[in-house]
Parts: sequence; C-alpha cells; structure tokens
Amino acid sequence: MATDTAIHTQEFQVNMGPQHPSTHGVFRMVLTMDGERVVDCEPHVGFLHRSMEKMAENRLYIQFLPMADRIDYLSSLFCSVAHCQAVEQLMEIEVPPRAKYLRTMFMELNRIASHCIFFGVFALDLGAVTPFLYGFRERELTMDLLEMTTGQRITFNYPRFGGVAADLPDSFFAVAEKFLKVFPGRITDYERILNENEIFLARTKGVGVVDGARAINYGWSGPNLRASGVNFDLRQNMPYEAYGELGYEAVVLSNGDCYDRYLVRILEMRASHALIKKCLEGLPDGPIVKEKVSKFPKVPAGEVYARVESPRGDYGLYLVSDGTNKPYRYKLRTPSFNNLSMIREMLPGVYLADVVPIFGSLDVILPDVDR
Amino acid sequence: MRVFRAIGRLVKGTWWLFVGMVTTTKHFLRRAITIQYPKERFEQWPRFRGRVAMVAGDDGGHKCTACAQCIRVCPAACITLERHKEGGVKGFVVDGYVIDIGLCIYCGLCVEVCNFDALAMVPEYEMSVYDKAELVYDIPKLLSRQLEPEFKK
Amino acid sequence: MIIHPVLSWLNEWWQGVVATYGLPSCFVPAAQMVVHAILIGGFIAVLVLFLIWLTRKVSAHIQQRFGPMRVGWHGSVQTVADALKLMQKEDTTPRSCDRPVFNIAPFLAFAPTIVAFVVIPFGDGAIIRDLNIGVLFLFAITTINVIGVISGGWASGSKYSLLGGFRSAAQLVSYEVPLVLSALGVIMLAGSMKMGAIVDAQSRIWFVAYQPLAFVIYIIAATAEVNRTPFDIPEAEQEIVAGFNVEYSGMKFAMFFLAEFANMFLIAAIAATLFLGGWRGPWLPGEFWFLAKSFAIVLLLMFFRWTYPRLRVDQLMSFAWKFLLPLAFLNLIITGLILVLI
Repeated sequence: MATDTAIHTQEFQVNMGPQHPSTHGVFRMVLTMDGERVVDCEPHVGFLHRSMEKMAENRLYIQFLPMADRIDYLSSLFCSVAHCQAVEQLMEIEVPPRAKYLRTMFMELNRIASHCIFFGVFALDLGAVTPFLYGFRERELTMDLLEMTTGQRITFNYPRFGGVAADLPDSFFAVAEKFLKVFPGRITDYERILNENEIFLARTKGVGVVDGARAINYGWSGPNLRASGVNFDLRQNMPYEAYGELGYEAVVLSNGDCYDRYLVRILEMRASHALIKKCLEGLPDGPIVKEKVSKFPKVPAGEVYARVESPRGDYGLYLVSDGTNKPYRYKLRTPSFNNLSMIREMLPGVYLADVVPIFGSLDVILPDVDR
Repeated sequence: MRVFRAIGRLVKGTWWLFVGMVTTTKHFLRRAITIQYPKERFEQWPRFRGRVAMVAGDDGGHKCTACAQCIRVCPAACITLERHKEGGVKGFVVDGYVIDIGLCIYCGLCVEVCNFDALAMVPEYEMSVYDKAELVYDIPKLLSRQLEPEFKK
Repeated sequence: MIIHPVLSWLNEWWQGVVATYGLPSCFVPAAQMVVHAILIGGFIAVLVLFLIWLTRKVSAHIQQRFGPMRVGWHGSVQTVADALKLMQKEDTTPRSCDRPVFNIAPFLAFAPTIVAFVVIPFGDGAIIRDLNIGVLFLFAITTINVIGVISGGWASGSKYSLLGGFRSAAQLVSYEVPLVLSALGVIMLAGSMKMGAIVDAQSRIWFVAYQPLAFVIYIIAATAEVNRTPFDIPEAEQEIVAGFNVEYSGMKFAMFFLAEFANMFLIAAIAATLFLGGWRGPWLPGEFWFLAKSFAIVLLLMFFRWTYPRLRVDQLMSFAWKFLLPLAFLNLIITGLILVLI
C-alpha cells in the first residue's frame, strides 16, 4: 500500500538549444531532468560547421588568411597569427622585431576584447544585465585601437607572412594612452559589481568543480586549465612572438570552479593591460614586414604544428605542405572543442539554473567548436 | 564564534551588495555614451576598410591594367574582369570590371596586391539596398566615390 | 486632498440626480462602484505605461545608454506604441495547450491586482473601501495571482513554461510567509488592520523607525513576490527562456506584463503605507507624498534588478525559510515583548 500512495515522479527531457538565449550560439543540449535537477546531458555540436579545414586546403595560403579570422570571431587575430606562424616556420622566415611586438600587442588587445565579452556574457548568464553592457563598452575601446591600425573592428586580417600589414598610425599613441589610463578603473568597476557580490559568490563558488588532473585528461587549456591549478600558459612556457622578451607570468588559481574561471579572466585582463604597456614602451624601430616574401608563397614541403595561446586556450594548427601554393592538410586543434568536451560529465547532478553558468564559464564560442 | 562569523559574513555581504548599487548609481548619473545612429554618426578612422572603390587616374578614368592579381588573391571570388588583347597596345584592354559587394568579405587583399594603385577601400559602410542586383558594382559605380586623402594601402 | 473632494462632489451630484428623477436608491452605490472601477482601471493603465517607460529609461541610463528616444519627448510615448503593436499582434495559441485554462490564466493573474487597489489609501480620504481587515484582504487577494501564473505555465504545454510556473508557485508561497510576518509587526504597533488606521498611527513617526528589520524583510520578500531580480527565477530568461509566459503573445502577454508592473507598484504602495507613513507629509497634498514614496521604492526595486545576478532555486528557498522567516519571527517576538513591557 505504501508503494501505491507514494508520489511517482518521471524524468523528462528538455531541449536546450540550438536556439536558446544562453547557449552562446547554436549549441544543443538534450537534458534529461528530474524536476530541477539534471540527470543526463547529451550535447550536440555541428550546427555551425563551415568546413574551415577543407576550405583552407582549397585556397592559396594568403587567401585563407582573412578566412582564418572567421574561425573564432571574438579573438580573430590569434587564428590568423597561428596561420602566419605555421607558414613562416615552414618557409624559415624570421619576423622583424617590430612586427613581433605589434603582433603581440594587438593579440593582447584582442584578448582584452574577448575577455570583456566573457565578463559581460557570464554576468548575463547569471541574470545581471548591466555588466553585459559595461563589458561591451570597454570592448569598443579596444576595437577602436584595432580599427585604427588594421582597418576593421572584428575580422582584422592584420598579420602577413613575415610581418604585419600596417604600421601604427600617428594618432594611435594618444588613443592608446587614454585607453591604458582608463581601463584599470573600468576593471575595478567590474570587480565592484560582481567579485564579492554575495549572490554571485553563491551562484559560482563550488559550482562545476574540475580538478587539474581531470582538466588535463580532457585536454583543457587556457584560462579554464589555469583556474584548475595547472600552471601552463604558452606565453610563459613556450614563448612565441615577443613574449619571450617581455616576460610573462601566468595567472593561476586553484579551485577550478566557475568563480575561479571567472576570476582568472579578470586577472588576465589586468595582465594583458600590463603587457600592452610594456609593448608600447619597448616597441623597437625597424621594418614591419620581412622583405622579399612573396604574397603568393610556394611553401616548402613539410609539416609543422603552430600554436598560440588564444583567450580560450591553446589554439593549435597542424599544417602539412606538399610544396605547392595550397596546404595539403590543414588540421585545427581549437581550444573550445576540447573545453566543451567535458560538459557531459560536468552537468549531471546540478540544477538547471547551474547549467548556464557552467557552460558560460567555459567561455566556449561555437564557431570555434564546429569550425 | 560561529555567530560572530555569521554576522561578519552578513555585514560583508551587505556591504558588497551596497557597493554594487553604488557602482550602478554612479554610472546612472554619468552621461550616456551611445549615439543616436541615423541622426548622429561617429567618424570612421581613416584606415577603416569599407567597400572597395577604384581610384581615378589623372584623366578621371580608372587605372586598371587588367593584370588580374586582385582576382587571383580574392578569397571570396567576388571580382570579375573582362579583358582582351588588342594589337598595338601593350598588355590588356579592360572591357569590364565588376565587384559583387554582396560577396565581398572586406579583407583588403585586392588593394594590397594591386601594383598600380587602382583600388582602394573607402570608409563607407551603409551599403544596404532592396535589390541584390544593385550590390554588383561596375566601373562607374566603383569610381563614384573617391578615396579619402589619408588612406593608403 | 485632491481626490476626496472630487469623489464626494461626484457622489452628491449623482445622489441629486437619483432623487430628482425618482430612481431606486440602489443606483447610488452601483454608480459609485462603476466610477471607482473606472478610476482604478484608468489609473493602472496610465501607471503601467509610465512604469514601463521608467524601467526602460532607468535601465538604459544605468547601462550608459539613452533608451527609447524616438517616439515623443525622450521616447515617452514609446510604450503606447508598443501597446498598440501588442494589440495588433496575432494571438497565437500553441497546439498542445489546454485551451480554456490558457485563455483565462492572464486574467487570473491580472484581476487580483486591480482588486487589491481597493484598499490602498492614495491620500486623505482617497481610499475606496477602508476595510477593517485591510491588510489581511490585501495579502489574501495578491496571493491569488499565483494561480494565474501556475495555470498559465501548466496550460501552455511547454516544459520551460511548466518549470517557470512551478518555480513561481514555490517562490510565492515561501515568500508570502515572511512578507505577512513582517507586516504583522506594523499591525501590532498600529493595533488595527485598517489601512486608514495604520496611516493615522504614523502621524508622528513612521513605522520604519520602529520596525527597520521588518522593513528590510518586507522589501526583500516583496522583491521576490513580484518576481524581480535577484528573485526572478520564474521568468529567468537565461535558464527557462521566459518562464510561464513563453508561449503567450499579443494581448494575453500584455496582460501578464500589466499584472507584473501593476504588482510592482502595488507592493511599493503597500510598503509606503505600512512603513513610510502613507500619504502623510508636510505642505504638499497627500496624493503627491503617497506617489513619491511609492515611486522611491519602485526605483529601489529597479536598481536591484539592474545590479544583481539571480539566485538559484534552492538558494532562494533556503534563504526564505532559513534566514528571512527566523528573522521575521525574531522581529515579531521583540515587537511583542516591547509592547507588553511598555
């Protein structure tokens, strides 16, 4: 009799995405729910697949350069720099120091832009609308600087084989000065709104905890990995461009929860700010592009793996050349895909309301996942 | 002890909630930074890569020599060129040069590879039209807006 | 001071009309009711239009934007334009919905709010029915709109709206308790449930001075009661898209919207009456003071909304039962002890 009067519950499925306000693009999760709790999650990726790798294999090296920007449109400079690095390594081109510094500086600016979006969107995921617009406000400042030099606000198409496309305009320094002066105060504003906010702490501390070993097993990289206490940052461990000369110390936190993943990015914004300052101070003179590099290079046969530390993590590019002017194989190892891979294991057991911050704290961008 | 800690947490929590409110109030009193778009526009930086335009030569015509470098480099294949060889003339004669702005990705590579400074990117960004066919720009249309003085490739 | 003379003049005029033409005497209260209903309906309509505009402007300026600027002076007629748009919209009904319940739910959510305005003292004598169980009536009536919300969520036939409806039911039931308990302190002080008597009891000092804790509890519980951030989990956009009203469109959606904003003002008006001395204030007419106090609290709620993130369901519940409720009881005990001892 006791069994008959007991309340019978039933699991049900909620289809989160592909069109859902907080899946950051087109990502679909089929959540099996027991009331408000998630029992199982089945992620579906591929809604944004554009066959970037195959497109690269059918185009000249220079033709794919602006397209690489579209792989991860929030941090597009990193993708095209990786593309250039791969080609330069195969052709054994030494990039002039000024070009290295310019690339480094603009990559850091782009990182700030990307982290600003993360800040805004993460706050929005938790229901705070205002920080979203603050984040975008500061992103405009960085994009102004990028636009002044590269000519575009999102898809810059800035690096070239053996250097960069354009030198700094004269008006750049005044605007950059202003930005560098204003920005730390703006980060303080961010921190005032969210960092110690009791509600924010309650929502993010201890949610979606991932320890370092598990993060490594899943191939995590970037801020997510560093939030789990693993001291690995390509800028520090395998310096490229001007990072070796500038010196960089990675931001590492230990808890591995949503809050630390958030905090790492806030601290990285400050670190990037310092790097940009250093870059501007130590900017060497000289050419911005190596001379006598063809615009339509025939890349010597061979294979190479180029990697950069993008705002989302370790962006890798495996390039095989057969000696023609088109890549033979163009394999991308995008950080978002690996970071997303644990979502199925992280979600069961949490509340529906926690799905959103956990997913948001990974700072995944869907074109980067699907390519 | 636990009571004190709980009270401390309460005070701290309330304080930071209050600080958050102060921050938003501070912003509330500041001037808005957005602009009212169709009435106000912000000025483009001189290097801004808007649409592609042709640079007029001294005679007011285009400077294209039909070398087709731009077509070779264009990632979106949005440029079409018609040319023919004519006896007595060195190189090619341009019959038609068409850029489909609807396909263009504004990368600026065509401007960069042009050896004769025949192309430029002009800071123009309001190109929406009702008919797709209007997005196909031919030579007179490409020549219609001349390059801002500071923009060089 | 403004409304009362007008109302009594109207009443006398109508009584004169009834007497002159020899109509039955039951026409007098009937006409009075009609006039009151029209007044409240008009007031709510204008109020909500204004409140929506205010929300948009306040949120915009907090975010360093301008907000609506095109229609009218600083977009002041924008909400009217939006209301017109909503009226023209197709009234979609999902196939899997429970049709009668789906259609009646918006009205169930909206009607209690209108009824509750009956006992709100807008000014000196400007109260429609000064019931002797005023506060009780108020809390009893406002609780009814949860039925509208939950039935709307259930009848939509969508999982998101179902979740929203259930969340809303759980939340409103839990926060109703500290809300009423915090008001109880005021009732103990005033010795009456009559709204008029409560305002009169504050002629010297506002009750917020005697009951600061109750005021804080009331504001928190009231924020939860009207589903504003940080307690807006029933309509959390980022989790369950829009909660119970996700399948509604057109005028039915507008009804939910009206109810939400009217409720927000109602809860602020109650706070003004119970804690901030109601319509009492120096020099200016009472109606002005009442509106000023209410809007101050509405603004406070708006600033909450645009500053704070949202709590989770379980945190929301434990906050109500483990924190607010004991505090409210503590406040009651202290108030009772002091009243007995003095």
